[in-house]
Amino acid sequence: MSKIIGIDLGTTNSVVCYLEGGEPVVIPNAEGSRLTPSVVGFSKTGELLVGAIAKRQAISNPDRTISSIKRQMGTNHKVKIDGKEYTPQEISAMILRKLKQDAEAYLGTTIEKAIITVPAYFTDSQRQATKDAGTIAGLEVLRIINEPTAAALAYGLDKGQDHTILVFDLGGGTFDVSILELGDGLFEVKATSGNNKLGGDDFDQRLLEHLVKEFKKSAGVDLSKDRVAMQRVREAAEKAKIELSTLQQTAVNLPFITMDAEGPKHLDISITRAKFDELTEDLVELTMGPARRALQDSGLEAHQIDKVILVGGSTRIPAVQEAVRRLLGKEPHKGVNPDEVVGLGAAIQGGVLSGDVKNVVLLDITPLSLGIETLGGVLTKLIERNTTIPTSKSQIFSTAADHQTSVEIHVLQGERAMAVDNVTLGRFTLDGIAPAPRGIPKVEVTFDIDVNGIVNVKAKDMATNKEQRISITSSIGLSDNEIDRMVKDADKYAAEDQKRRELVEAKNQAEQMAYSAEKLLKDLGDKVPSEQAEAAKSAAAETRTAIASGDITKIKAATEVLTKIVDELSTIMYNEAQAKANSQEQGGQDAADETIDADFDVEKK
Amino acid sequence: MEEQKKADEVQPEGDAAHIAQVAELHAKLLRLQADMDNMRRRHQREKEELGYMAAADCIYQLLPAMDNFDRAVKVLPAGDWTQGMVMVHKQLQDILQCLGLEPIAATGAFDPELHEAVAIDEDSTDPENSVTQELERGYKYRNRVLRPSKVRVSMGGSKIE
Repeated sequence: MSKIIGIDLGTTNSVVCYLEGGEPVVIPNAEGSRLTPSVVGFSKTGELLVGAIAKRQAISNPDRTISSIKRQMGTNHKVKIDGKEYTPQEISAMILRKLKQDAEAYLGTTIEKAIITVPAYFTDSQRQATKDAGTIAGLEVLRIINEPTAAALAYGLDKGQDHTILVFDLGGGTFDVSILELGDGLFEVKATSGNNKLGGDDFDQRLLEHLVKEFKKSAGVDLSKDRVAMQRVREAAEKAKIELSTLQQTAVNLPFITMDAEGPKHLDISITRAKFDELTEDLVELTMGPARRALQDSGLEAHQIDKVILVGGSTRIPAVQEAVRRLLGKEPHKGVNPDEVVGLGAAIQGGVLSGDVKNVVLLDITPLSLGIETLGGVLTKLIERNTTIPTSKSQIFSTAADHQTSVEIHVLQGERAMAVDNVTLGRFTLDGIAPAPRGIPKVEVTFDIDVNGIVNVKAKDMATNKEQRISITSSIGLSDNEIDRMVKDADKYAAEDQKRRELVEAKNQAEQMAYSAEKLLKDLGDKVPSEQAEAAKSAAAETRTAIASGDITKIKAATEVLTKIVDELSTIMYNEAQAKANSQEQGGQDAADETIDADFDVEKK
Repeated sequence: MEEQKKADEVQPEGDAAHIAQVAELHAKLLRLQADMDNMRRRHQREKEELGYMAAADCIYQLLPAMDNFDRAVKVLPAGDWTQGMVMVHKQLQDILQCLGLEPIAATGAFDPELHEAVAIDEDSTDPENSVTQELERGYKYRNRVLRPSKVRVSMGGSKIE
């Protein structure tokens, strides 16, 4: 079955999206951009150009370049090129065909079906014209949907109870406000209003004028007659506008912007957000009129609007957001890229129609990490939070003491470093482990979460194949609030937990080193010069005192000293082993002891 | 989840509903596998693309400084100081070239794949639709247009001849 794409066929830019594994994704065009300018051009050699390439030749080829064709949809307007007449549908189809072809190239499959969005105020004939454009482009248009509805879908507002939604769409050159009412999962447009000659370009223009005026004041040169300089200023103005959405102040730097008799002149002007707001105050106010009108037409008061959605790149301007907040007394929804939200919603609508959205098995994730307690009371995570389930993971652990014959598996859930700060899901004991030095037995612990969220934990002694298991059903029975608190706690105590964990790790390492030293001394017996043996013994004792003190610097220092001694003893052991090349048992055992160090030690029972 | 439980309850043999369900689940599984396979291939391609994009974006961000250097070198008065700056300018150009950046030629016919028309020359004597002046250098990075050249384009004054 072929994919259904969602298309936001915009006045200035268009976006194409599709559903990947239940999530809407933007498809980049052949040039690698997520936005495709809605511009069509016919080169002087008769070649058809669409998108950024068409836009680039607009100035040198104005009679054969068509932009904003969306404004003509549904009219009898004709575009005449080389004696041939084109309807707005045909021009729009050229844009749609590029989007289709680029999507096919990206997805590696043919595409036949699409959802296309239109403004809520579009009449039947405008909608029909849009549908025809799709057909001409070789697409079966499954549905024409309203842009504000698509935006609401992208925010998942079709689920949940009935409510009213205001969609505030300030694009590059058009402004639309729509009020939707959701009932029984269907959106009804209650009112629309707008201004089809207002958008981000106007904000750029204000900044540009300001920069030119300031430069004239300081340098005495009027840039407005210099097309080339103006081009640079225009680009810089747009960049400054974007920066002022996140910064309080920005600097416009244009070295060598012009020359006069005295030499080169540089434009260097800083603009604060406050200045930008002052320059564009009336533009922001211009959006409020239509918003109030839409409210009035819908017969609703501002406080009766349940949700507010921002669409269009210009809604990133803080003053615009603030005006919306003031008018409606609520925080607008954010999170989805306002340039892409309509296209993404169209893709979701495509998924609903194809049954993809319904059929998608909503794969759950584990809200918290799962693991077991290991030596020193540390939580060792096997499955990290936000892992998609079903999933399973195994890790090999070992014993913490010599001749330990059983291990307790303490199953925990949570994000904190220390076992005690997390939630216990269950415990069980695996016994019958053959007595051996610490670190030698291998116990494989496996966590398995099935599709229903049931956690199965299994511990297996690799030597005897003896195993124990536990099944935990209530693991994900925590409320959202509890989960939220646990995740937040982990952040809050991160530094503290890290310290505690470091201490435990230092202690474990010191303990291991002291153990190795004592074992080597025992194994080597009188092969170690008595002086060296004494030094080793006292270093080991000192390390144990340091461990008891709980002072991480002391522990690390003592461990360091002891490590050197153990290295020396190991060298003696190695030489011994080489000398008696025939006997390998001891050497082999020690080698194993060394290699397991890294993952060792289930909590000692 | 629900479907799975149901599947467990019914007897394996002779149940038409069961068979249909298995077929449906099987189809769904195949589709998922196909989706996964396609995604894997696309991710591989995207990973390669990412390496390109990371470098390209970094170089792209440097271009305005390069442009201003170009402008400065053009207008500096002759002298030893200037010569030093010209040498540094050349060095920077060479480094960028070694990294795979190549300037786009801004001569001959205007080509919107490579050039962006910023202004027109109404009465240029150059042939119609040819580039008359480069206003800002364009660049290709590893054979892809990183930024088109900003140019003036002749409107074909020569036709009047």
